[in-house]
Amino acid sequence: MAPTSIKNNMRRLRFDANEMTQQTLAEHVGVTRQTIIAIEAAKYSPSLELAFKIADVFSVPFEKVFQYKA
Amino acid sequence: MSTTEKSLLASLVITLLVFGNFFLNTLELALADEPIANISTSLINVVISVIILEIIVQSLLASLSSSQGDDERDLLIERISFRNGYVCLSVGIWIWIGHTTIPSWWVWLDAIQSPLPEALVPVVLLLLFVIAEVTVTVTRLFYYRRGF
Repeated sequence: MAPTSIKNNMRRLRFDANEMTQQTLAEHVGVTRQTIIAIEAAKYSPSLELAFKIADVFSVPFEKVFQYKA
Repeated sequence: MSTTEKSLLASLVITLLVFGNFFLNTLELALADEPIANISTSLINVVISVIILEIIVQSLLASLSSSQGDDERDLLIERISFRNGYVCLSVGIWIWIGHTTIPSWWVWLDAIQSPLPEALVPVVLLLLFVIAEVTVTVTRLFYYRRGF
C-alpha cells in the first residue's frame, strides 16, 4: 500500500510522553499495536475518531499530531 | 507475525491441503460420470474435515496467544478482502451461467463438456466457493504483511 498523504508526529510525541510504547498507546485508544505501527509509518490513515483519540492521549491539539501533505 | 496473520495462514494451509487433495481426487471421478451419491458423500466428508481441523487449529492458536480483537484497520482489510472474494465468486458464477446457457461459445474448449456431467455440478460449485475463500484469505494476508 502506498504511503498516505497524512503525516504524523506520533513517534516524537510518544518519546516526549515518557517514551510511551506503541502497545500502551494502542491500549489507550483501543486498537492493535499493528495499527499504531501502520499509522506511524504513514501506511494507514486513521479514522477521524481514532485520530482525535490519539491527540487526546498526548493532550495536544489534533494538528500537532497529524498534518496533511498534498 | 501477529495472531491474526498466524490464524489466516493456518486457515489457508488447511484449505489448500484438504480441498486441493479433494479436488485432485474427485474431479477425475466426476468427469468419469461417477454416481453423484459417491461424490456427495466425499464432498460432505471434506467439508466436515475442514470445519473440525479449523476448530482444532484455531483453538490452539487462540490459547497460545492473546487476541486483541478487531479494530478499524482489521475491518477495512476484511471489507476489501470480501469484495475481492465476491468478485471471484461472481466471475465464476457468470462463466458457469454462460457455459450452461450458451454452450456454443465453449466448443473451442474441448475439455469442458456441455452440459456438465451431473456429478461435476456440486464439485464445481464448491470449487468456486473455495477459490473465493482463498482469495479472501490471501488478500487479507497480503495487506497484513505489506502493511495497510
